[in-house]
Amino acid sequence: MQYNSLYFLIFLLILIILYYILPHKHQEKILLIFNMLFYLSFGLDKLLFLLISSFIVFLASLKIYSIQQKESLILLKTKDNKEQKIAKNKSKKESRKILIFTLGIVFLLLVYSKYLKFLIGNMNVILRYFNRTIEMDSIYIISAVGVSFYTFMLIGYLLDIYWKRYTAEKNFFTFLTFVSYFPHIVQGPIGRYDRLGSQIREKHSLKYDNLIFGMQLMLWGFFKKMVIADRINLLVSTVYDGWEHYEGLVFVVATALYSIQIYADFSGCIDIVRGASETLDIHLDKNFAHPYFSKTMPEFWRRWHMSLNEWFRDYLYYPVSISRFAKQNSKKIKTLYGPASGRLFVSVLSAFVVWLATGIWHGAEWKFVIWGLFHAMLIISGVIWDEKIKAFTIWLKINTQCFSWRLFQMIRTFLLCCVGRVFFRAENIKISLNIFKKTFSRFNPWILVDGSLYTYGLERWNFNLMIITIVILFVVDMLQEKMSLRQVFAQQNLIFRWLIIYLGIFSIIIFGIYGAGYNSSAFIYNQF
Amino acid sequence: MEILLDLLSVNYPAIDFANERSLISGGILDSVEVISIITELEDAFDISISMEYIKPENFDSLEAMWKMIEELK
Repeated sequence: MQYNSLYFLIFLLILIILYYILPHKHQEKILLIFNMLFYLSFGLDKLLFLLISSFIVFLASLKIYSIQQKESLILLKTKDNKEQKIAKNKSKKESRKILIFTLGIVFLLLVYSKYLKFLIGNMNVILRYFNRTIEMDSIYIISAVGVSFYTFMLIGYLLDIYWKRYTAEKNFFTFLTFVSYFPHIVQGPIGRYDRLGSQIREKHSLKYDNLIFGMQLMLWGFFKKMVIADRINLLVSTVYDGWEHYEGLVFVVATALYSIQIYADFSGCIDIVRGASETLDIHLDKNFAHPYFSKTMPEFWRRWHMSLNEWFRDYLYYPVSISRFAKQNSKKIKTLYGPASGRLFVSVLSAFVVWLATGIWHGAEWKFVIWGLFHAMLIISGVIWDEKIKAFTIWLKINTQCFSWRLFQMIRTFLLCCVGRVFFRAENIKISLNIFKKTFSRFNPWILVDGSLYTYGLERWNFNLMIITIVILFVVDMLQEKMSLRQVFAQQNLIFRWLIIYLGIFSIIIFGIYGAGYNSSAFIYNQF
Repeated sequence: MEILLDLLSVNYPAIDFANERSLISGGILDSVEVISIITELEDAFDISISMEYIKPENFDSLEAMWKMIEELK
């Protein structure tokens, strides 16, 4: 069931009615049943896969928690430091064993579901030298929907319990309701149990604001997805799928538009799911904060897919940075080259590991690995050159406190991001390198004015409509940077508010891009 | 706590550690700076900060960091 389908709207409507009409004590159960129904729509095998992963992590978390409870009891009983230390070490050793074993299983399940085809494909390249291959068709692979998202939720939860951040959930059904929560299981935001678990357990009453704000957010999400992203997709697909026929500036236009498309697509989906969740009085974390207004790449990644980047920060960046390997080598470098070099080593090591993992997370393809390494290079360069660039701007007497400098920084960040997008969008690395080559093979700026732009999958009318909707997106984002637009909107007269809402609904109906059977195209991040 | 304030102020002169109460939750310190601070605290106070202690509430203010150091000593 796609979030942008009519079935989803009917599904949500039935859920809202039952959720608020039936007694409060049944709300969690209704939510769980609807979560199961939603996920079942992708296939029974996928649902079983989700249940198995969730149950394994649930059992492990309970075991780790009980070991920690035993340790606390011993610490309360004895005041002897030696005995306390023994108890702590024993507890840590036991819980670490369970943690490593469970993480191993969860990673294996993730690899089986998402990376097995990729691994077999690469193994076959080697095996062909020995006249052997592994038949892909002979292996039954369950490509579980949202597996990268819910696996990360499960790992995050288990690590939080291991690091004693909060107590383990004792009710499997409550835990399952959190993991399988239908608004976040397919494309995130990657939920944190400490923020979401309590909301799931709470009793919820129908609130006018939640319903209205939620539906408005969904409407804006549908507009972003169906009117903006899906329209841009027609042009981007024409250029990228038929890349052999084009050269020069057309790739710059298509790539810049793809950057806007992927933003409208992914953030549109997040708006839909956050809005849907808000109608149920459950508030999901923000996943976007107008990323294209970022002045540096690190800032961009703090504003784009925030839940994933925060996940990597908390569960990979910090552990790698304080690992024994990082500490020992940083100390050696510090002794040899000074404290700044020691710090730099830790930053470079952690950035490299995190960005390699981010690339692999996005997909089982080499192009995502290259994309991740490209971003690692940008972040690491930023860390290395930051002070020197600052000194250089002072030497050149550049005013860095004015609008024009900030605008330059935003455009620079956007362009760097676009370079990475070429790897992301092109079918493979070879094609992306060809696209780079073809971009610089011909200087043809006249395509911007001679009407050529209307021949890349969007005729004049549709192209102009695309530009207008992008301007709307830009203005809304700009206003949201400065104010809470929904609060300002809520203060307007009733007629004006409804006029805008009707305009939104009709523009989606009239200007939305629909495929066969009036279904919109799938979200880009569905594949991850 | 004066030692801690001096240590942090020397390395991060632009940040008002004495009065700021939301260093992490307010986005004043980023993850790179948090790691640098951890390294400096470990060296200066001869402590080891494990993952259990790396959470926003332990780094949000000077007092919180001091409390954590006292606990780890």
